Formats: sequence, structure tokens, C-alpha cells
Amino acid sequence: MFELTLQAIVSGLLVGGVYALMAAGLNLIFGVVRIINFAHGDLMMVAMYAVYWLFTLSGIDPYVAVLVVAPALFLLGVFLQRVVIRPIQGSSPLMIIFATVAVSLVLQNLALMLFQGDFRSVQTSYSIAVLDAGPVLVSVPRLIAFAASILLFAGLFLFLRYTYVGKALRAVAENRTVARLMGIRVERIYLLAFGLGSALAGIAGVLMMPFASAYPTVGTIYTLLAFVVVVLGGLGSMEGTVVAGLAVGLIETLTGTFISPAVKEIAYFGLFIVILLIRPQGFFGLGKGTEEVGLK
Amino acid sequence: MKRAGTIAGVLILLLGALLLSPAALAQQEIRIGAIYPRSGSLALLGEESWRGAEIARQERNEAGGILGRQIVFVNADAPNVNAARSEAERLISQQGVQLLIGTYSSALSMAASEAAARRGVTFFELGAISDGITQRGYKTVFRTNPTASMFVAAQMAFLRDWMAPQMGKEPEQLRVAIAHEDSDYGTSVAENMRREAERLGLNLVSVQPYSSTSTDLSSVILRLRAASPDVIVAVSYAQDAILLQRQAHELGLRSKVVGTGGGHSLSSFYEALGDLAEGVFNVDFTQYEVNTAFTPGLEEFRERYRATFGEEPRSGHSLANYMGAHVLFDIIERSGGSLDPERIRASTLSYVVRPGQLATGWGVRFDETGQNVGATPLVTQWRGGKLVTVWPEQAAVMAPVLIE
Amino acid sequence: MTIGARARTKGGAPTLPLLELHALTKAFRGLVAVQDVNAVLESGEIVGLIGPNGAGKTTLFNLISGLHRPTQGRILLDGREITALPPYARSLLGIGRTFQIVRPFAMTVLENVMVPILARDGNPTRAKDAAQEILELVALDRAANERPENLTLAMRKRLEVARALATRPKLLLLDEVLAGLNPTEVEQQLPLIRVLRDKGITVLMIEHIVDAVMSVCDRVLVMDQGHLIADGSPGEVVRNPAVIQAYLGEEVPGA
Ligand SMILES: Nc1ncnc2c1ncn2[C@@H]1O[C@H](COP(=O)(O)OP(=O)(O)OP(=O)(O)O)[C@@H](O)[C@H]1O
Ligand SMILES: [Mg+2]
Repeated sequence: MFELTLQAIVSGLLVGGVYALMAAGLNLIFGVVRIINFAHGDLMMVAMYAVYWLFTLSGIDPYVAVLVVAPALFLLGVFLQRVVIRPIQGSSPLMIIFATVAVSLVLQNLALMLFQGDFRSVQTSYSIAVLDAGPVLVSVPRLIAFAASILLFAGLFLFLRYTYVGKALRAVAENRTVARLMGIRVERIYLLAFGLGSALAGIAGVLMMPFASAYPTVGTIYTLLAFVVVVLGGLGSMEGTVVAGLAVGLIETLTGTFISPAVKEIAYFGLFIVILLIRPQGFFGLGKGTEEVGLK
Repeated sequence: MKRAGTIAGVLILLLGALLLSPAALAQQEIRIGAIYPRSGSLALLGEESWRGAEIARQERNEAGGILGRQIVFVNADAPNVNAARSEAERLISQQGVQLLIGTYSSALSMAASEAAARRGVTFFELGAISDGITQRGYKTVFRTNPTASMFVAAQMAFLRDWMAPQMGKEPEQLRVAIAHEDSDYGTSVAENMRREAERLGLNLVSVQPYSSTSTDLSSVILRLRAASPDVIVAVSYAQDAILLQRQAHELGLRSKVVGTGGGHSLSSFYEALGDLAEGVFNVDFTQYEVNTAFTPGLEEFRERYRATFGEEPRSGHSLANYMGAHVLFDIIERSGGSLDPERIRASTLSYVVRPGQLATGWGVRFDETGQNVGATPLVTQWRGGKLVTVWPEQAAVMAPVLIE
Repeated sequence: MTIGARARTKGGAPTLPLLELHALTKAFRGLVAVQDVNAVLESGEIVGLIGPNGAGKTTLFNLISGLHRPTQGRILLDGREITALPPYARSLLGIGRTFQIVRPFAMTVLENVMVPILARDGNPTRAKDAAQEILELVALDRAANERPENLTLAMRKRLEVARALATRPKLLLLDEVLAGLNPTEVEQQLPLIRVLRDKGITVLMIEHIVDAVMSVCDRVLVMDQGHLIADGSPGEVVRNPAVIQAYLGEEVPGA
């Protein structure tokens, strides 16, 4: 029983790290640009295919591929903000939701057209490596993904806290009007936030590729999960995102293990709905701006 | 005289033009509506299924068609249940199609075949396995492929007759666990399994439902591990089959695995898992590594598939649809090229083929419900990157083994 | 950095006015919040902007700082047309402002002041020094590492001024920086405004506390229902019948 619990906790934390990373990008874009990007998981899907092709065609290791994929996703994010979002920014929340859903559909159908519905995976030497840590077993690529997520979060915190650009991002997230008057080029900060958020989704895709498969609709469930995490942790709150990401991972494996796997999704979606009803600002939420995206 | 000759010449020309006009050509063609999910999440196997039927169509047309008439598919994409229903209705009412085939997915099949049956139009299912499709009393709905309960029967027979003795156990000592995705499909198959396992006296130790869209199945594995089964019977789609196998390895669960078609038979299962796929059993439609003496025409199909689509078939779904389409064409031929539902039904019920004669090796004999009860699923095993048929013996290319 | 270094000195050769508003109008759907306002601000002035609630004062600030585009009219800074420039560009050109409702960022006091400085010059060390200098000026240097929510209202208002100063304005728009303060606090705050002028910064301040306006302003603009109804020295303005009328016949306080 002790071993089972411990293993369930470890497994839960490992998936939770990836959820948190996915959610971080979504939350950054939400916090700064004030839009909910329904194509977020699809950006991850694009990154996963990129890793797959780099690996299959050029033999580039997935973890090395991040050097190409993260910047590429950054540019894709900048492109989306510039071309799709900016022209309709300030119009109704519904309009923006439609726009990002449209981007999601376009990306998915593009993937289907180009690569069919096949499941694409990469097999590396470490794909199936497992660490025997006494009472628990730990998959090596999952551990790497978790550790990298935590490191990225640490980096993100430092970046937001100590650099000018980070401060400008926070300033815009808190109050774009004031930020504008302080001389911050808010439109550029939007591009940056969308770029960074997309790059984070891309990195999540890279980290998952050694143990997950790419297919056109792989992103949908991650968009949903990231959204749940963001709402639980609080829209605009990075600390909340980490905690909520890990919490969702834990809830998923613990309820799955000790109640039934059939209810594990119900468990966190249930919590999500309860939180939305009684505490829409989330655990840590700043709560600001939720009305702008049609949540309140 | 000269004048009469001119008139005759003009008449002949007119007649010729009439015969060659598109309308006249269309009269000659046999038009069949082909409903498959070709976009959306079911696209992979939907497309794969369609390809099989399409190859049969091309082959038959090249060989002169049905009684000299060419076969034309009116293709419709049905990514979801609503689309399946509305596309079936559209093909019938707007395109004037009198016979429909499809669909790969049971939910889509239920919807499309119901729409057809309500209008008295014949529907041939060539690939979906849910038992219910042929159990609704519709006189115009038929199925060429085996049902889910036929899968389960084959699977449990394999466990009792081969697996238990191989492990040196009596059937009642064989610890069996079931892991199934929790949609209607997985749930009903799992329920069949439970009953069949009990009927055969196997020791069922755990049943774990899960959502096929799960991103993580560690809890399923942990629960299974706690029940320490000898063998896990899984009912999975593509993504979750891979995830189950990978996470079983990650969490140290070493039981044998027997899949139930679906995800366990896809080439992507091996591509994703490599060595982790080695030795995994599966019960499925006929696959390509099979004793071809039992499946005449399979090699030709495979070559034609490669030539047409530039790659290897991705699963046995195309083959099943290929075989089913040919059976349907034979049946239409036997009803004199007529698509009249009653004549089709009569020739369907009287059409019999012994096992080992067609490209899937399946026999053909339709019962009153419209189900082909001559079709039998085969047990396959992943060996060195190939899904080889291992059981029953007459179809096997290798003997099954337990791989540690 | 020297505060107000870019501001021009008074006297000398005849210069262009710092700010010119030409026939400025702003309509929100049906409601005309600012109507045909013409005004000129000379360098180094302290100008008050008064008027009843809803007169359009804050809207006028929004037009000058670029948060709103005027429906009609032009805005010139140093003789240069800025009507179509976005807010960040106006900020970089030297228009700073505070908000009626203080809106600090959730960072330390020092960091709040550093943000606008960094937007001009990315060097963190220089930005920190400059921010500290500004905090000293507004007497917040000892609260540099506090979080704004822990400050008193008077201090937060000063932070608001400090942050506006950090944009190195030639023209500073102050929206009710004295509102909500008690008389002692108001007394303490007033010298700061004079110091700003001494640094060469032109100040346009909205204020309801007319006593304070009278004591510190060189000139007063009065708005009512979107119109500019008076423009003159404090003494002239309080005797202006239109102004008295606007304040509903009440005696203008402090007159
Ligand atoms: N963004 C806006 N949209 C619509 N109407 C607005 C907007 N901003 C201001 N108004 C309206 O314009 C009018 C002038 O408002 P403004 O805030 O400029 O007045 P004010 O003089 O600053 O008042 P107060 O002394 O109360 O601050 C008011 O009727 C207000 O409701
Ligand atoms: Mg105001």
C-alpha cells in the first residue's frame, strides 16, 4: 500500500510537471495578451511533428531538436499574434475565441493533410529507460521532462522578476493602459508573450516526444488540460500554474489508482467546475481580466 | 434510296450520341455510396478501410465490372455520428444512391445504417464490429466482418486452449485482467469478455476502464499491477494501446498482453514501442503475415495497395473492407446487377463461401440478422516488428510463444 | 539622470508653446465628453484644471496622453503634431501622467519606478540609480523595497507621481493626486509640485481641492459639460460668472 501510494504520487508529479509547462505558456499568453489560445495544444502538436521529422530525416536527437523547435515555435507564435490576433484585438471575447479555434482547426487539418492520421513516434536509446529507485520506478524521459519543466519554471520566474522585459511583461499583464503610458510598447510585448507562450508549448512537445506519439489531434486534450490548470491556478498566476499543474497530475493518478481510472478525468474536471463557480480567480488568481475573455 | 440511307445514318449517329451521353453512361454504372470517416480523429483507420474497398472496386472494374457495368463510389466523409447520419441521408435522397457501404467505426455504422434502413436502402458494413449493428431487426443491413463477441470468443478460447497450458496452468488458475477504454465500444466488449471468461472458467482478477483520450495511464497500470495478472486483455484505440504498453514497462508490470484489434494491430504500435511491442498478442481482422494458402488473393491485394497508395497497408482494416467489397460485388452480380433491396437480401442469404477461399481467409454465410457468421478473427503476435498470425494453426505462419 | 533636463528654460527667445490643443472634441457614442476645447500650455507653467464631476477633465487627459483618439481636433507638442501617435510614443516624447485611481504594478516601489526608465534605457544599474533619485525627490526612498499595497494612500499617490516622473516628462498630467488626502497630507504634498516646476516640468493638474489649486497654480482652466468655460489666473477664474454658475451657483470655495 505504501509503495503503491508512493508510486502513484511520483507518477502524478511527473505528468503534472508537463501539464504545468503546457499551462505556463497558455497562462502567459492569457495574462499578457488577454486571450485564451484554443490552439495552444496544437502548437505543441506542431512541435512534436517537427521533432519527429528532424529525428526521422536527419537523425537529430529530440533534446537537441529543441534548439530548432523552440525558436521556430516562438516565430510561429509571433506570426499568429501579428496576423490573426492583432487585427481583431479589442473586439468581442467570442470573436477571439472563434479565431483561435479556427487556428486550431487549420493546424489540425494541415497536419492531417500532410502526415495523415498516423501516430508518429521516435525511438531513442533512452525512450524506455527506467530508473529503479527503491520502492518506486521512474521512467527516465519522464523524469527529464519533469526536471526540465521545473528548471524552465525557475528560469521563467527569474526572467519575469529580474529582467526589464520580464517586468514589462508583468506590467502589461497587470495594466496595459498604465504600461502604455510608461512608454512600454505594448504591441511588442504582446508579440513577445505570444512567442514565448508558443515556445513553451513547443518545448513541452519536445520533452514529451520521447514517450508520446504525434498525431493531428494530440493537442486537443492538452489544450483542455492546460486550460483546467490555468483556471485552477489562477488566470495570470505563474506560481498558481506550477501548483495546479502538479495538483492535477496528482489528482489524476491518485483518484485513478485509489478510486477508478474511469473517474480520474471526472475528478479534475469536477474540481475545475467547482473552482470556476466558487472561486473564479483560482487558487492564486489575480482574477483580473477574466471578464475580458468572457469567463466571468 | 440515297435519301433513306442518309436518314438511317443520322439516326444511328443520334442513337450513338444518346448512348454515349453522360446520362446514358450513368444508367449503366452501379453507384454505391461509401461512407467513411476520412477527416477528424477516426481518419487514420477510416481512410485505411476506404482504401481496401476502393482497391476492390478498381480491380473489379478492370476485370469488366459487374455484368459489364462499371462500379462507381459516391464518397462521403463522416468524421462523426451526425455526419454519418446526414451523409447517408444526403446520398440517398440527393444522389439517388440505393446501396451504401462503410464505415469502420461502430457508432458511425449504427447511425448511417439506421438512416439507410429507414428508407429501405441496403447497407453493407465491412469493418465495424459492434454486435448491435446487425441486431436491430433491419432487413437491409448486412455485415461481412466478424462481430465484437466473435473477437471475444476467439480471444478467450486462445487463453484457455493455448495460453493456460503454455504457462502450465489449469484454465481456472489463469489470472486474467481486462483493461478497456470506457466508450460504448470498449465497455460492451469488456462486458462480453467478463461473461465469456466466466463461461470458460478463467480466473478474472481485475477490470479497469479508462478514457481513451487519457494522457497518462499510470493509475490503470498500478491497479493492474496490484492484481498481479498472468495476462491482460486490452480493448484499446491507437494512442491508449501505446500508452498502456509503455507505462506497463515503466511501472514494472510484466504480464502478457492480448489486444482486441484496434490500436494493438497498427504499425504505429510497433513504431512507437519497438522492443516493448515484442510478443504482444492481438485478436484481429486478418493481418498480412498470415499463411497465404489460407488467404488466396492477399498478396495480390497487398501489391496493388502498394502500387496505388505508395506504402504498405497500415492495418488489416483495408483487407477486411477489400474482402467485404468483393463479397458485395459478387452478391450484386448474383442478383443480376439489380440493387433492389429484396433481391439483394435474397442473394446475400444464399451466398456461401467456405473458410480459406477469400483474401481474409474468412468464410461467408449470412444468418437471418444479416451477420456473416462464417468470419473468424485470428490471433496474431508482434514478432520482430511484424504482426504475424500465430493461431489457429491453419492460418498461422509461426507458432505462438511467450516472450519474457 | 536629471529630472526635467529636457524641459526648455523660460524667458530667452520667444518659443513655441509646449502644448497646443486645437478644437479638440471627443464623443463616446452619443455623449460628447470633450467639446471644441482650445488651449495652450507654456513651458514651466503650473496649470490647474477644474470642473464639476463628469466635466470631461479625465477624458481630456486621456486625449493628451493618447489613450483616446480625438473625434476631432489636433494636439501639438512643441509645435509637432502628435494627434495620431500611440501612447508609448507620447510617453517617449515627454508626456507623463498619473491616474485618478492609483494603479501601481505588483512589484516593489523601486521596481515600479524602474519600469518606465528601463523602457527608455535597458541598463538596470543606471535605471536603479535614477529610480532611487526620483524616490528621494518624492520622499519615498525609505519605502523603496516595500510593496505598494503596504503604503498609505498619500504614499501611493506619491508613488504614482514618481512613476510618472520616471518617464522623464516635459509635461506632467496629474489627475487628482491630492484627492482623498487629509489637510495635513495635502500641505505636505504641495511643495512637491513646486519642486517639479523648479525642475523645469510643466504641470497640468486636475484637482477638486480648489484651495490647493489656487495656492499652487499660475493659471486655471475650467471645464463644464465638455466645454472649456474659463481660462485665466486663479483670481480671475473664481470671479467668472460662468464658473460660479457651473458650480451650481455655489460660492466657489476659497474665493
Ligand atoms: N470610455 C468612456 N466611454 C464612455 N463614456 C465615457 C468614457 N470616459 C468618460 N466617459 C464619460 O464622459 C464624461 C466625462 O467623464 P470624465 O471622466 O472625463 O469626467 P471628469 O471631469 O474626469 O469627472 P470626475 O471629476 O468625476 O473625475 C462622463 O459623462 C463619463 O461618463
Ligand atoms: Mg476624472
